[in-house]
Amino acid sequence: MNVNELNALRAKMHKQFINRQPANDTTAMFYVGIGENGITKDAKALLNALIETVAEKYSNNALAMFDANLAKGVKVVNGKGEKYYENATTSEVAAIVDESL
Amino acid sequence: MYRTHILVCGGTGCTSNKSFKIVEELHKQLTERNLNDEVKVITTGCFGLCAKGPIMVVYPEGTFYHSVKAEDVTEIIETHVIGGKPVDRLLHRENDGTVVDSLKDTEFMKKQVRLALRNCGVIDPENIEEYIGRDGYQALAKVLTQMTPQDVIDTILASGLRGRGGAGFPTGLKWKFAKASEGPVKYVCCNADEGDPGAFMDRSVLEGDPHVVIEAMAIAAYAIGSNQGYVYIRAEYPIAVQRLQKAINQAKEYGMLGKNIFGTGFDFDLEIRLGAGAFVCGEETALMTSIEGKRGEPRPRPPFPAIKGLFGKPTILNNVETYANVPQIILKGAEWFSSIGTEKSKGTKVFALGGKIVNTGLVEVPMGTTLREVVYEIGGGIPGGKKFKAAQTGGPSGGCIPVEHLDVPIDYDNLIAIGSMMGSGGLIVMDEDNCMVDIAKFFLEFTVDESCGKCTPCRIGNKRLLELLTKVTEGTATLEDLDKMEELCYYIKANSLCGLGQTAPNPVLSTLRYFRDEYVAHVVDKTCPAGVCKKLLKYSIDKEKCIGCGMCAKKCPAEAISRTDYTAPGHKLASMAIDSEKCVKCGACISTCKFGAVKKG
Repeated sequence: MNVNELNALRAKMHKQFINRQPANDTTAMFYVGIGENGITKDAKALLNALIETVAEKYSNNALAMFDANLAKGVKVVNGKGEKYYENATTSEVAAIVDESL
Repeated sequence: MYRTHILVCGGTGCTSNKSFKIVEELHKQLTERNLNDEVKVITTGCFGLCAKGPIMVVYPEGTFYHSVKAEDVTEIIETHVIGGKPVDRLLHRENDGTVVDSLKDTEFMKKQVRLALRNCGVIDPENIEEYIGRDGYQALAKVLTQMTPQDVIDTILASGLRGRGGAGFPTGLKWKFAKASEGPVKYVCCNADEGDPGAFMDRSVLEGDPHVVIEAMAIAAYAIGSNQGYVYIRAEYPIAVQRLQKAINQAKEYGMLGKNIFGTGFDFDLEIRLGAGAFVCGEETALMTSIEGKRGEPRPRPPFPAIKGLFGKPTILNNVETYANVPQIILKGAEWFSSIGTEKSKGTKVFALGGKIVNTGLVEVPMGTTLREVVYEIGGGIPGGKKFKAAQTGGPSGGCIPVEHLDVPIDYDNLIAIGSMMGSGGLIVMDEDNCMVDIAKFFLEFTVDESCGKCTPCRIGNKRLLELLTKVTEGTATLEDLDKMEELCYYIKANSLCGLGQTAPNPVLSTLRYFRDEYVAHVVDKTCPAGVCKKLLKYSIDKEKCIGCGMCAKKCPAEAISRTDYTAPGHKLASMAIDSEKCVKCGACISTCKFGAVKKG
């Protein structure tokens, strides 16, 4: 293996650690609301889109998860405060992440 | 990419508590529920809070579950993974009952800084790609492509890294001496023998992050001009041995070991050598003698191993934890590392907390952290509200730290100044029920047993010292014996061939320094204040409290208890009494009596 291959593997594996690290004060938290209904197909798609987009940004300071205390939509909590996207869809994820990171 | 990561501790402690069954059940249920694409299960190294194992951490929430069993998996998946809510009954509660759902927020973790342990509890130690994903082998790449060997040594010197195996010798200086030695053949060795009773720091690094040692040894080899390394690891660590061997195989497969690493022309190979259960083989020259295939016995120094070591060639030998710090020093710089710790002791230290402490386990704190913080904040204090008496650091080579030194910042020099030493990191806490004479005897029995026998001061001197100490615990010593012991200690320290003999008297000297009153009580009053030394114990029955039920007599295996003629006022039956000639001091009577009538002392 040469150094370029090492770096490529590192970048690939780095994405695997998205969502596998403890939060700190500056971590951007993305919550996908699932309410009392549990995880639906739409909620899953929304979360997957968030994780993929965060990974593409190579962010190592963002976490995305379901939130049973949130009825629907996406809530973002970061250093700028808190913002709620009540009717967030997968097509809006890129913009939400851009705004939040 | 996975939305949920379930990390299960696969360290020796949790494994012996069947954490592997939790992993099996997780895999089974996730497959049944078709969640394998969304949820990843990772068996990691030690999280550190061994007292609460088996440990599970679920990300992204970072939820910390303790004492998990395989039977809990269904609830965890249904309630947490699918339902999005934590399983409350498995969450950690502090001493005051506060629920803490994240491991990093526990009192145990808050003050810790995990550098050597940075990947333990985070990555799958059996997957080199996970190590690479956490910047693994980046330091080696940097060293081989951007730094000269002298640059590497200068960096390690500037960082202030000192050996974590016990002696605290500057690592950069050791490498500098070896680099300056002439000859085409040099060796890089790793001391993973970890013989101190109660110590498991190195074991945890090898089980949880074996690649960090491989990478660091390759860096060291480049620095000194070596192409061959050996890891000497005790055979009593089967999980660590297996994971390290797997890591070496993977490193070879990926080209991090072997010929022409990263296409730079640098070759380095690494092999494991198993120890065979001798404490003395943790001593550097005995370790090398053992690798050479001979009986593990130390050699006189000089010449020091950096000049003439393994197979007569220049050799460096560093401890596992020392190596675990190297890659990050290379990547983040010497200044970063030297900004942590105290003036003369940089970085962090891993301690294995054991003994009379609530949170037994593995901790890593910046040098300069006080013993009080380690014991009471991180360690959770003494169980049962008992009083702290002392903490033994440095294992059989170390000494005890009494309550008056609880606020001394822990570093190499401060511990030596108060009669102890850092050692490899074993930290055994003792409370009011421990007898310090008995503790000294425990450690001395160990070192007498482990002495290789090569030099007279250790072989004969420590044995004679043990005989004197045994007299103290049996109530047959005199005050002159205490003076004799002290004199003998200094003679053994000054004249033994190696560190085992030179440090074996330390527990005796240390306890004589701080707990002389206990020694005097044993010698003059013929009593053991802590009620431990059997020959000085006397069990008796308070005839006023005894109601004469006779249960103690029924339990006594030596028929040493019989009824007296005396009936206490208000009682119907005559009191019992113990014949101390027959009594074997098993304690069955005291644990049987519900009326507190049996006394020990």
